[in-house]
Amino acid sequence: MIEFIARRLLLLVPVLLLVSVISFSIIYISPGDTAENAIMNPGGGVDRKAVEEFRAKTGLDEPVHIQYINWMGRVLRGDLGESYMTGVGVSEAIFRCFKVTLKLAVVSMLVSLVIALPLGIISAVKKGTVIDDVCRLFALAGVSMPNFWQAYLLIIVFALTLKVLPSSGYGDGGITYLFLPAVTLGTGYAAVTMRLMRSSMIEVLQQDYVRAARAKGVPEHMVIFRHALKNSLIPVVTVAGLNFGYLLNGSVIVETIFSWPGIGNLIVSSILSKDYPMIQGCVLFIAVIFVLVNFAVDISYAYLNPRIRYENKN
Amino acid sequence: MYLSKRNRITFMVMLLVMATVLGSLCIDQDSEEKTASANQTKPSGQESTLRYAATFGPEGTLDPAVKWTGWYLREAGVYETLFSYDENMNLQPELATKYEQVSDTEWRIFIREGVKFHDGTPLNADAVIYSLNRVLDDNNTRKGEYDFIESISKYSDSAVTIKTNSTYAPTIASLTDPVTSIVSPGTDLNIAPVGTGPFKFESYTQDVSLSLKKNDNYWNGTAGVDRAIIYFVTDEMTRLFKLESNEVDIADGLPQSEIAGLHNNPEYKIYSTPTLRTYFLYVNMNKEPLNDVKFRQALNYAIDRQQIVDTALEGVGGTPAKSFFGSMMSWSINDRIDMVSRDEQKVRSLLTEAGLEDINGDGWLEYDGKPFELNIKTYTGRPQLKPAAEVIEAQFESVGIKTSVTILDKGALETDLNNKDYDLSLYAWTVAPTGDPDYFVSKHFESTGAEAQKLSYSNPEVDEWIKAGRQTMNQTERKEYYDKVQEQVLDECPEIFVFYQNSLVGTNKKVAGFKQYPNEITFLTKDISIDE
Amino acid sequence: MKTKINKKNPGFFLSAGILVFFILAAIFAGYIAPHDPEKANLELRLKEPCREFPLGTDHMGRCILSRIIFGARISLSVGLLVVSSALALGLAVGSLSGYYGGWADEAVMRIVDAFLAFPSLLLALGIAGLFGAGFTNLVIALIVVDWAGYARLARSSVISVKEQDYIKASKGLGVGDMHVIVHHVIPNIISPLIVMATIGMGYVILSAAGLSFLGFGVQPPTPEWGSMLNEGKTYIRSAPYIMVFPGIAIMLVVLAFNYLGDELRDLIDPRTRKDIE
Repeated sequence: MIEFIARRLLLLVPVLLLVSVISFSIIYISPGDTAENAIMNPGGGVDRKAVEEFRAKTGLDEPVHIQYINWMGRVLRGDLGESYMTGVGVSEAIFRCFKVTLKLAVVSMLVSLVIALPLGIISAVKKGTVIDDVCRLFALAGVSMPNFWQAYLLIIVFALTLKVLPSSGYGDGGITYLFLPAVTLGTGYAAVTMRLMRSSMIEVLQQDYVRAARAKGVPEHMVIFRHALKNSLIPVVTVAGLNFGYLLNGSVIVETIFSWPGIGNLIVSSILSKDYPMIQGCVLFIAVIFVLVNFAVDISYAYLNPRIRYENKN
Repeated sequence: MYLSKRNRITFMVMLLVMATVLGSLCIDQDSEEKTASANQTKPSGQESTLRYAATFGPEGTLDPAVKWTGWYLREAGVYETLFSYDENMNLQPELATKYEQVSDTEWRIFIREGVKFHDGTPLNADAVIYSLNRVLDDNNTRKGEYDFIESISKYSDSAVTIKTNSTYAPTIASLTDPVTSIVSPGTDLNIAPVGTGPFKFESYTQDVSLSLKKNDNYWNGTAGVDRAIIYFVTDEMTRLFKLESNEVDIADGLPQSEIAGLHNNPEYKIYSTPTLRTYFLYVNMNKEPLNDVKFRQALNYAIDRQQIVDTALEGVGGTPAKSFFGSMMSWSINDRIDMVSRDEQKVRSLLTEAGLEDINGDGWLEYDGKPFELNIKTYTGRPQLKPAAEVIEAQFESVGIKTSVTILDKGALETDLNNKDYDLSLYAWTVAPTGDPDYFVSKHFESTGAEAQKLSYSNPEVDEWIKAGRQTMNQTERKEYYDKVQEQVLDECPEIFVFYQNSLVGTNKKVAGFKQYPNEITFLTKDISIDE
Repeated sequence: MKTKINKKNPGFFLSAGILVFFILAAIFAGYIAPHDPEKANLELRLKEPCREFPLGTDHMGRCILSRIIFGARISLSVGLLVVSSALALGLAVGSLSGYYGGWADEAVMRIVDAFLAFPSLLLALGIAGLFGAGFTNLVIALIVVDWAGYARLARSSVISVKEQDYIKASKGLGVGDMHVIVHHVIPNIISPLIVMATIGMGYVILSAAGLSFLGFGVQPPTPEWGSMLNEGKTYIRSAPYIMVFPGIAIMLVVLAFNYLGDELRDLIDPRTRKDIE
């Protein structure tokens, strides 16, 4: 097992390196002058001299591979640089925003589980029937609806017509402000989870010990809840981590509409204002989190399924 | 699956532990607010709080000398400047009482006495010098705009002397820009702003909100509300929703499409005023046939400005433009000139004179016998730009000029303009952030100006007038120069001016005393109150 | 692999029907659409659905029904272009990598992992946002983001198929590698990739709409469903039909692709197949 972990860990290094190269180069190959963008006046126009000074100060006049090396050097020391827009540390901003997004993501995942688990179980138990189809359709509808459309609909119904919830904003971070964004994100994600729950449950229901329990005369609901459920949940929960990416994707739009100061919003606004250090930092940060999450999931899969460990030896 | 019961339980426990860790991470409330004091008074039942949904806000720093942060903090009523403009664009003394021009290059500014900063320290010459020097600091990215200042020195405890490098008429006006906000020396301005305005800083959460308390010792009378909270909301519909669901009392930048509905709603008051923001087309005079004044004039007459206002701006977002200075500016010549209305006959004759003709009868004009297409570039960032560009496209096409619109982000567009890689470009500029006419004309029409080079515009006569305008102190003479510049530009059309943007602000009916300022940098004032 | 499709499954026919409808609309747009989707009629703006304009007009006076019909062309072609290119690229890279194995395989897989490390919308946003809006950039951004998933799936499929007897037999007979790959390996791994592509279509259409909604999509006046939603945002109360209809269109098409993809997956997946027998 240790050997397995060590091998996987070693493989992480080139991946992270490539991720950093990709993060860095997107900015570099995109059009537009970096220094000009940073100094630009919201009223319009740039001051030539200020542009030159800025270029020299931030090292933008050096050749690209030198810039990359400098950047990586700072990154490895934990310094993601300073935002062009605010002069404030990129890492600070990222951590602050990430906490917000994480909160939204976790609650959204809970929402999606609340929707998906019952639907998945019912669907699996009643496989092949109309109920199965209806449940699947329901979950699919959630994933097929563009989430910005859904967000506006929810705002109009709950905030403007019924006036029971705030229409936007982070507020005190409490449940009322969390509700609409989490529901929007969660329903989108529910189908993915539901599908997994369904197939996992179907497989478990075919296991010998389930058939044995049925043969023994155990009532159906006991079979489902006592015997089948526990085991079918395992892959669902494990995979939940992997699908974090899906949530981050959705958070970009949802945070923009609900004015949540999360990392999705941060990325959109830094792309719009061409705040390169911020963009690079965010992209790198998110990708690294991803890689680490995938790594953790790989390890837990291997722990659960010894065959994977041995297969990977060649 | 393949686990023994024991292993399964272990795994579940592991997951539970991870979930608890994650959960505790999230449940702890965001406590990264920057607070000025340890005691934060919670709004009690008797305190009045004004809640404002704003489009723009500080971007991490609260230091007014950094970029345009000063503008946001002045709007919040925290900082003030030596001079400012009232709602009719008249220059008025604020933290200064008057100024004297001692010589061509020397100005004396007298500071208001008896004013105290929020922390109790007095406003005096030392504070003024300290504040202004922060802008002149080498590390300040906006230093270039104040390069005309040679030195600032103390004349007395309540007066300073500013020496300029050469005769510079816009000197006093430049002191209205909130980058020159007067701050209390010795405080860490990034964390706790200390100004002289009607509102005191209380707390700030980046991209979320800014909390303020009324300044009981404000030199100009106390504010009508006890507290104010500004929420930063970038989406215009969301700002509107917040106003309608009573989460805020006042919201700026309301969506144009909703104004008509709000006017009919007695619950809300709508304020609309023309601002200093003019929308205009850059014309690339480096290209044919754009280098032909007749073609440019044809384009000018092909635009139906009123129709743009009625459609792209829903009739409320702006007013048709004559020259680049709006009518509220004292430098405007709008009452002397006629509005350029769409005139199809004139357009056709001008186009023919410029060499455009529909030879093959396909409905589109050809230039020099070859198929011709005009492209309008504009950028995201202001919601009025795209629809306005599309309407202009339709108006050009209706006189036979095949047109297309390309939307870029500002950075990419700036690059294209610098490389003269465009035909026409629709832009929005605040034409006088300090109320002074030199800013816009020197950049756009003086041949050394950055924008004039993008246009490939150079007229030696105009250069003379601009230079003279900058160095003449006599207001009447100055006005003559800028009048001449405007008339010449309107004749030659290196830029075509389309409309002036209106600022659209909505309040609920309880809010009283709100006034709009055309330069948009004064917003929260002491006059605002809430009638319960 | 062929099992009988449940003829009593209404969902299947409904989804197929929806897709056929939109595909036909896309192909014959010029004939079906009642008006020019790009021509502005400023006097007729913001009209409610009526006989002349069955779905109303938008803020520039353009017929919404016509824009949705032509929009089908845009959305479906973006989807098709992106998915087919990503599939082709991923299949090529993945199968070659898996077939030959060794260090090259490890290196290629690390690159694939690196691309998969980014949440797709964020990377697409970065690319489209930084390189500028427009149809081409949108397609390129989505391809860059999508291909890695196909590569990984192709590779793992190739690895499991590689050791099959018929492959070994071919190689033993001296058949060239490329021939083996093209004629024996690929046909046997293509099915899960097709499933991925079908579901991927839906996802690409949603992503394209999302990017257009944020302002990074096609140029005006091109009628793309996502940018129609963006333009309709401020009219959501005064003229909700501008946003409602394109939203429904997106939802129907994506739903249909997802449902079909699900059905296909059920057919192919050996775990659920046991029940169908």
